[in-house]
Amino acid sequence: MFILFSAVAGQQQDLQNPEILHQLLQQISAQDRDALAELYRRTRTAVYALALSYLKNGQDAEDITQDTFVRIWDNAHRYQRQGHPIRWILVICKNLCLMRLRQQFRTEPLPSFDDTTSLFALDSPTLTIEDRTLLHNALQNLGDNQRRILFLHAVTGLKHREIASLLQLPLPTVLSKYHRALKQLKKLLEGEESL
Amino acid sequence: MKHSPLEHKLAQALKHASPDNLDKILCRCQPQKGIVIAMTQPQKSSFRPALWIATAACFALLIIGSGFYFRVQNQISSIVSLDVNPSVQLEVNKDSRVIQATATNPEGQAILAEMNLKNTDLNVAVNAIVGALLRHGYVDELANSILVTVEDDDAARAKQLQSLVADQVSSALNSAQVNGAVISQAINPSNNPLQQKADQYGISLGKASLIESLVTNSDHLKFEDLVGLTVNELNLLASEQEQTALNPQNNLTSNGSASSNGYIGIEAAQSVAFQHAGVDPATAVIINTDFDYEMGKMVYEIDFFVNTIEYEYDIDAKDGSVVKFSKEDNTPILPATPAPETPIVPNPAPTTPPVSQPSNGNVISTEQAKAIALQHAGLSEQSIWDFSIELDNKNGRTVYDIDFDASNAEYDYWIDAYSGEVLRSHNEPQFQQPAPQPTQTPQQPSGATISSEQAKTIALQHAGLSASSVYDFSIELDREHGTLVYNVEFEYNGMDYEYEIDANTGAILKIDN
Repeated sequence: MFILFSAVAGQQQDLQNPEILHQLLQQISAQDRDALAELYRRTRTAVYALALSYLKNGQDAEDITQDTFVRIWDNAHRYQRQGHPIRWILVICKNLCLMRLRQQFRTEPLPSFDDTTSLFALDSPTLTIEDRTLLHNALQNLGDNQRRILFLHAVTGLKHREIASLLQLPLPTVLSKYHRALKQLKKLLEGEESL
Repeated sequence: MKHSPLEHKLAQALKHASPDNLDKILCRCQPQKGIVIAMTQPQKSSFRPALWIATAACFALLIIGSGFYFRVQNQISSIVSLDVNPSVQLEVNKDSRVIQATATNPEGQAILAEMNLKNTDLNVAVNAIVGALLRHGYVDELANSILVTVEDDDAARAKQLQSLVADQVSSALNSAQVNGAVISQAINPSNNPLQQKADQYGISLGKASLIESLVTNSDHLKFEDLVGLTVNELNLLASEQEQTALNPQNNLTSNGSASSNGYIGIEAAQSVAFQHAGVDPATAVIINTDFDYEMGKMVYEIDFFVNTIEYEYDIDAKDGSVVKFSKEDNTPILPATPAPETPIVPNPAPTTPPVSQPSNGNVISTEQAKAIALQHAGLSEQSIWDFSIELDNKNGRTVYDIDFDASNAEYDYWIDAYSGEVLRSHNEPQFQQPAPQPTQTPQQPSGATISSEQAKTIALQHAGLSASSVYDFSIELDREHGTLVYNVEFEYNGMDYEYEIDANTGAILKIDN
């Protein structure tokens, strides 16, 4: 499936139209499963990306993504609009990630400084080689916050200020990490190509 | 929102990577009260005709549909068991007639003593039994779960029986105006390990099978803990374990929801938790509420967040006492060491940068880290600019992420925050442009002639907007194509505006809206 680069961004913004998401969340709180399905369609990449940026493992990210939507279903009646609706969704995801990380931290030894890429467990059939290279570099070589900020900016339609609020970082930090992350990623990819 | 080509590619990669699991999610998302969609799995193994008895807890009766099977009258084709508390077993032939009815515990005997079910139609028998259960108060609003188990060698027949009897029980309960919860299952009589366990604990095979699936899907429940629980309690636990219904090994079908009327209720439990924690319920984001069995009692498990503090509570489901609780600050920067408590703030505000508030006293200071980096680079503080330092977490290690520019290169360091070890150093020589003057002024980024305020004005003026009318304003100094520029972004009336303004001349280099 060939997607124009600009179409992805444009599509994504339309996909996450805040009015529509708000509407869907209301319907979900009235137990409308079709609305849940539609919400999933529109926001699953954003949720998965955030989970992946925290957990650095495709399988874990997949689990957390599912859990997030189940939590949305259970808690939609508590939803109250505060800014972009996707923020509410991503807060849930983020909290689940942090809980999972804490569990893992308690029960598993710290990963070695040189992680092998097999740890990332990215095995969706639609991934191209270029996709994999890009994601591996992002998962392995970017700082945690750099990566989270970058993923959020790429697929959630949140602006820097909203990202700062979600991750509870100061705005200047978000801005500088964002730019550095992009620069770094670019350098890494150019490095890969020249090898 | 401006997206560089690289970011577009990243977005595409993430889109490709994210799996589509809508079916699994919808399975786990059922309407809160009322009918639960059945999740029957087809029987795979074949069953031998056998006489299986032993159903301890009361489960619904399965009734064989009439007229389906024609065989010798007294030959047993299926065994249907009901467990609630009384445990009753019906041996049924192909004509759906009861050949023999047996009780496997004293309560069951009391039930059967009132009736003679020999040669009666299964439907009639089931009705009679359910009626007796209701009369004796074994099934009521407080405990409304009934387990139906069918043992049969014929998979298709077993399944049919299962749903027929389950329906029969449901409607019997409905006519008595009891909101029943019927769990039904079909099992293989030759499942020896469970039969042994069932005999060992003196419970029915059906109940053992249900307990086994609960234990399999739990990380802390043990078989021996659960044998004493009623079917209603097991049903409550089962409905908390979403996997139980999904496990293809199970053949559990569930109708209705287990009564939790004997308990204080989720809302009350949450109140207890919030009150104990001293938090305003409106600020709490609830992550999870569960029924579980901990430390010998049925509890509500409630997990919630207030800002960065996470609370976990176990509340006794019967009397509302706090059985267990924990509280933890989970600022994402550091690994999960117990952190000092932070005051609870009603509105989530950005926390101060971790650089000035390291939670762990063993972290070296930012000044020290900076000195280490500069020393490694062989540079003095006066010869660098654009210095930034942040506490961050790389692969489980806490590091200072330090970046700065110097006349010959851009530098990037990762300094271990505890040991001061240089974990990573990277510099990129700059060839494109002569570096800007290394004079460092706090307010104005070095090399930039115009201030950020001026750049902001230029952009807004061009857009014909006032500062107070735009949203999400952001401005950053950056280097694009070798030139120092301000990237100005804001939103107005649903439209995104982006400007690139030369930091030296104030000229607008790029506009995007």
